[in-house]
Order: sequence, then structure tokens, then C-alpha cells
Amino acid sequence: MASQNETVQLNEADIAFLLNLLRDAAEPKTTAELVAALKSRTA
Amino acid sequence: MMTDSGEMVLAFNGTKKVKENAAAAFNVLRARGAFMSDTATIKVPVADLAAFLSITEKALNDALAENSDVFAVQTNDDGVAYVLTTRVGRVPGGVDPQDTHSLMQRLMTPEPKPAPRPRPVREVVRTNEGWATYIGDTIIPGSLEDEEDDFAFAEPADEEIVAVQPEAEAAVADMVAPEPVVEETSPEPEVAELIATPAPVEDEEEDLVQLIDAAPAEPAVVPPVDVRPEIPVFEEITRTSRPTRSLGEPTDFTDVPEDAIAAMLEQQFSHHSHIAYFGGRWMTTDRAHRLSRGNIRDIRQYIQEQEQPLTDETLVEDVLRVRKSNPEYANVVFGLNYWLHRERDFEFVGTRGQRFWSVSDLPPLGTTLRKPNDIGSDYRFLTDGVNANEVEHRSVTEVDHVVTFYEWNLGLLPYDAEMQKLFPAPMLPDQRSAVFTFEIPQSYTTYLVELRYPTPTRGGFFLGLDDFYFDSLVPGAMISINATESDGHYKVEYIATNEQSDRLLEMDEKRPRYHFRPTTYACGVDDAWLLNEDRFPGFAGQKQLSDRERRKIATVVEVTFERVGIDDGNGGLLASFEDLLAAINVERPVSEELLRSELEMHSDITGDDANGYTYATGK
Repeated sequence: MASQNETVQLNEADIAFLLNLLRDAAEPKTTAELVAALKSRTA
Repeated sequence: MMTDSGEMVLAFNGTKKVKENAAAAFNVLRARGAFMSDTATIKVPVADLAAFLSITEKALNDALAENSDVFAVQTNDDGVAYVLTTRVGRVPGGVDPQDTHSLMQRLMTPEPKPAPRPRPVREVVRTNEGWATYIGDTIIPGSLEDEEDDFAFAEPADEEIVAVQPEAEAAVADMVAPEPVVEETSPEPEVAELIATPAPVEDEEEDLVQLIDAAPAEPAVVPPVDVRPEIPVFEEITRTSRPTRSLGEPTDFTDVPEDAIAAMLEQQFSHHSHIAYFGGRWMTTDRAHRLSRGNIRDIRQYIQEQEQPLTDETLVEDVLRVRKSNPEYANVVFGLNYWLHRERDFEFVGTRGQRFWSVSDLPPLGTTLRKPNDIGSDYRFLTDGVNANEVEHRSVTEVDHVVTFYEWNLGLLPYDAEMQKLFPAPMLPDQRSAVFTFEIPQSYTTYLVELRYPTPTRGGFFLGLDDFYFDSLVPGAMISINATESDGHYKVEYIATNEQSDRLLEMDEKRPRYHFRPTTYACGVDDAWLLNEDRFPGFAGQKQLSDRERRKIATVVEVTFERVGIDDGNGGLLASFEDLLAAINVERPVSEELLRSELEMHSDITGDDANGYTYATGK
């Protein structure tokens, strides 16, 4: 689990998840929406 | 012109008397409908008709009943019987509706769709399936010439038909497959016989005969020859939709702050080759709307025609003709921003909420009295001791400000520490300026204002408020700048007061000297910053300092003492800090801290805020 003290890094699974998210989106996504998607995926 | 004789001869049924009555009744009815159309119903009560003809109703009814194809009798709810007919001697309503037409129908009914023209049969190039499935080593080099004819005559369609009809397979096989035949296929014996004739031969031919005779005999029985080529069977290649390599476990971002994730995305994900990122928005590059060269040329021309920066939404609607109701509107707006950002001739001068675009040869916003670089140099003190990374942009919603003479004259606002908290940071790392809209609700006007972001050698400032200042304010006016939901739009308000008249300081542009001019204004002012003749009469007729003199803050302070100071009786000039601050901001922008620092450092200036400052001129 990435904590606040560690440097946050995207791994290949995260990038694949984001790419699929954007490919399925009908409109541009904001940064806040991507952040929320990353958080909700692991919640 | 056609006329109707009024007489029409019909053949009626019945006895002679009945015929006479029917003919008389028809003539009366036809005369009544003399101006009616041929198919319109002529309707007359039976009793009235009988009375008119001076016959009994029974006689009339007999005549009507006998000629039912000409007359019809209809009784209404009141029991009154009517005889009905038409001018052409037919019972009304018997007209075939298919024979009728109306003007409305002719106009409203579209013509049937014409049958499509027969399309020419397109010649389809067919490829032998044996060739279509070529892979690697299937064709042996050198064997291509031998097999070419075989491939050309192969007809796999027949094979398929046989395959789907198993009961007929045997019969077809009997017909198609030739019996094993015994044939003397080997030409060698024949050749041997021919060569073995008594004809004279040369030594080489004899050797050849010997070689041929010595060769092993070919088998006499050969298998049936299949005229079709062998179609190679290939292994089926199954492709999986997902890579078999594991991508690993997804990172758990539950406890990571959102700001850190956002920063990580912009650092690590925005440069991905499949990602289009602009202004905090993300898409895949293949879905971002692309601009043609013609689109980019039209956008450039439109901005040049309007002579001012324009927002992305304006460009999308006015140039690309995509309306907000279009489902692709958001994609087109994003695509415009993303692709224009990659164009060298365009410059982004907007914010995240209000994205303005400019072109390189657009006339600058704001004053032409002084170059923006010189103004930036005047505001250089604003960058002293300020760490741009520590500023919390958009952390306040309102900033009050008093307009100095220098700002009023050039239509400026300083981008000082308070303003930096009110306005957003540059959206792009290399962004030099941003355009904002300043709405003045009290005058129902909106101005385009350009913010020049600070550089290491120049301070930041706003340009483009000249008209607003000249129309509504005077030097010393108090204004309030309020943020709105959009980080590119702000509301500016001033204190409306009753009209006041005063002789205020101005710069005479014809001969660059200061003078006092009678002015009427209706805005609230801070008296400490009001420059009128009663307070600073020494400004009258003074020349504006040169750029060289203005750069030295000490020189400007000394000149200001000479303009506003009073003789202290000892050869010095005495002035209050308040007067000095207001007067020195006529020539150049000076903050309170900068002036206080200069007063302390200057060797010829003594005093304090309570007693005033004295500048010993050395007389």
C-alpha cells in the first residue's frame, strides 16, 4: 500500500486501468475524476 | 367559353307516366343545381318537388323508386323525405374516390420514389484459396511453375458440395475418381526402342542408351492422378484478447492524498504516447477531435479579424460550427485546445476555466504609452523576497486596492502578493501571460485584461484597464476585485458617491508635464492617495522623469521631496510619509516597504513617520 510518506508511482496495472477508463469515456475526464477512479478501485 | 344548355336527356325506367314524372323531376332538380358541380348533391324535399310539379307525392315516389340509379330518397331525423341527385343524373356519393383528386392532395403527396437505376455488376477479382492461405514454406522454390496450372484449374466449390451430401458422395466419387489404370507411363522404354533402332548413332547417344537401360524400371501401376492441388492444412492460431503477461497488482491509493495522486498523474501519465492531456483534462489521443490544416488556418484568421484573444468555446462555435447541443462538443473543445497547444503560431493565454488563445502577431492589450517590459521593470520590486512556489493561488475571494496615479495613467494593476492569492497560477509551465475578463457591474461593461506573469527580472502586472479608469475612476479611487466561480472571470466594483469636483493631477500628453485639471468624479477615494492642487501644488509644470532617472529609486525620492516638501527653515525639505508615498507613485510604482527602506538608507534623509522626513538638499 502506498502511504503518504512514500513516493507515489503508477505501475503497469494502474496505467492499463486508466487507459481503459479513458477509452470507455465519452467525454474528456478531469484529473479529479481520474483520482477518484483510482481511489474507488482500491477502496 | 362553354355554356350549358340546361337540358339533359336521360333514359328513365317505368311506364310512360312514370318516365314523364321522373324526367320532370330531374329537370327541376338540375335547374336548381345549375351552378353546382357535376358531383355535388342536389337535395330537395319530396313534398316540395311534388307540389312544384303538381303531382301527388305517391306518383313522385313511384318515379323516384323506379329510377333508383338517378334518384335517392333520404329521410332526416324530423321525418322529412328528401330527393337527392346530381347534375349528371347519378345518385350522389357513388363516385369512385380513386378517380377524384384535390389540389391539396396533389401538392402534399410526394411523388413515388423512383426506382433505383440498375447498378452495373462489379467485377470481383477472385483469388484461388490455395494462394490466399500461403504461409512460409508451403511453396517450395522451383516448384511454382509446375503447380501454376494446377492451381488455376482447381475448383474447391465442387468439393464443398460433395462434402455436404454424404449419401451422394459415393456416386460422385465413382464418377470423379478414375479407376486405377495400368498404363505405360514411362517414356523411357519407348525412347530406348527408338534409340535402339539400327540407325547410326554417335558415341554420346550410345552412352545415353546405356544409361537409360541401366536405370531401374518405373512401376507400371500408378495411383490415380488427382487434378486438384493439395491444399495445405495449417494449424489454427488462436489469439487471446489479453496479454498473457501479468501486469501485477494495482496500487492501493486509499491513503494517498488526492493532491499527490494528481501530481503523480501529471508527472507520469500525461506524457504517455496514447494520452492527450491539456488543462487538467484527459483523453486518449485517438478520441481527441483532430484539426485539419484548414481548421487551423481559419482559427488563426478569425482571431486576427477579431483583434483580440478568443476562448476555445468561441472558436469551436464560430469557426468549427459545432454547437453546445452537439454530443461531440466537449470532445471538439478538448481537441482544439490539445492540438492548438502543439502549434507554434498559437499561444495559450487562458486559465483552466477560461481558455483564451492568441496568435503571435496580435496587437497587445493595454496601454501604448509605455512598453510592457519597462512596466515590468518598474514592478521588479514585487518579486523581491517572494517565493512563487509558496503562494497559495485562489486562496482569497476578494482584494481591495487603491489605484495610484501611475496605475491610473497606464491602466494597470500590480500583481502583488494579495493579487497572487486571488488569481490562479499560470496553467502551463511556460505560460507568460493570461487574459482575464473583468466585469464592471456598475457600468455594465466587461474588459479584457492581460496579466503578465512575473519573471526573475520583472514584476507581474495587469494591463488593459485604461478605459475603465478614465471613464469611472480617478487616482486614489478604491476598488474591490472579487473572484467568481470561473478562475478567468472577476468582478470589479468601486464605491459610487455623489459627484465631486476638484482640480486633480494629470499628465499633459502634448507637452509631457504635469498639470491640474478641473475634474468631476463620482467614486469613493482614499484621501491619502488623492492628488489635487491644494495638496501638491508643486507638481504643476513639472516634467516627467526620464527612464534613466526613474530607474534609480534614490533619485525619484529626492525629486519627490522637491515636489511635495515644504521648507523646514534649515534648508531642508520636510514631507510626511503619507505624502511621499502618494507622490512617488506618480513617477513609478513604489510600495510602502520599499519607500520606508529607501528613506532609512538615504544618507541625506532623516526623520520618522511621526515627525515627518527631512531631506537636506545641501543648500
